[in-house]
Amino acid sequence: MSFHEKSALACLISICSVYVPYFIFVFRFPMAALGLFWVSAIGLVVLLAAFHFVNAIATRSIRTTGDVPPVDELDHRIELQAAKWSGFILAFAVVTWILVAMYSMPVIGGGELQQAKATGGEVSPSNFAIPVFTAMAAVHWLFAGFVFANIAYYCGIVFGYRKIASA
Amino acid sequence: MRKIPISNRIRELRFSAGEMTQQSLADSVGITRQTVIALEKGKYYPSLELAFLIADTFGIGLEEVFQHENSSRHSKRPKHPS
Repeated sequence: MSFHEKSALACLISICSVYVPYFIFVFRFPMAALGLFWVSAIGLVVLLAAFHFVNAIATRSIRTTGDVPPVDELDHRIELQAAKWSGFILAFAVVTWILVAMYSMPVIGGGELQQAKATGGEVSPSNFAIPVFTAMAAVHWLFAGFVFANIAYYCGIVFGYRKIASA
Repeated sequence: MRKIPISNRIRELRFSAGEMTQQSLADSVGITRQTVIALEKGKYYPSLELAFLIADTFGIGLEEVFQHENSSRHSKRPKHPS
């Protein structure tokens, strides 16, 4: 396993081990994300630094000469392929999120408006309100799409190297 | 684009060049050992630039390192109407 493959695997493990528990928690308690976001970001940086430190020590060329193994055309090709697929996933996630927001927000936010209309009360734009829990959950879904695209990117890199390595 | 099978003699040429290791070939052309392994297995086709660099390392021509597997069939020139 090359340095770059191990590096991608380290990123994949770090992101999964930080953000899978993060999303399990914040989808149950959307408001918890305000503090948890920074904790997860710091946790990710610490994990990445630790993995890369171990990877650097385990790589002979870095240990002996201090040189990071070169990134060659095969590495670039694998990265480009992975970036292509993760780009599709990110675009799909964002477009889906926009469509869902476009069609569901008027329904969710217009609930009070409809109620005011039915009861004969004052109907004004100030009746339009999106519950903060729903808004936070929507933000989490968008962020989850971004994280998932990152996971797909690193999966793509690891898969690319494994495909080349398998005889 | 149609894919055509390309074979190479890198492994054979390494051994005839004084048991050159995969790592020393990789170092001389500026790639990783993993890429040399992939090339030898035929899992990866190099760029033209890398192919020339490899051929230069062995001091031979490009066509002596890389061969088009169905070259006899493809070398037939198309007939042009006069």
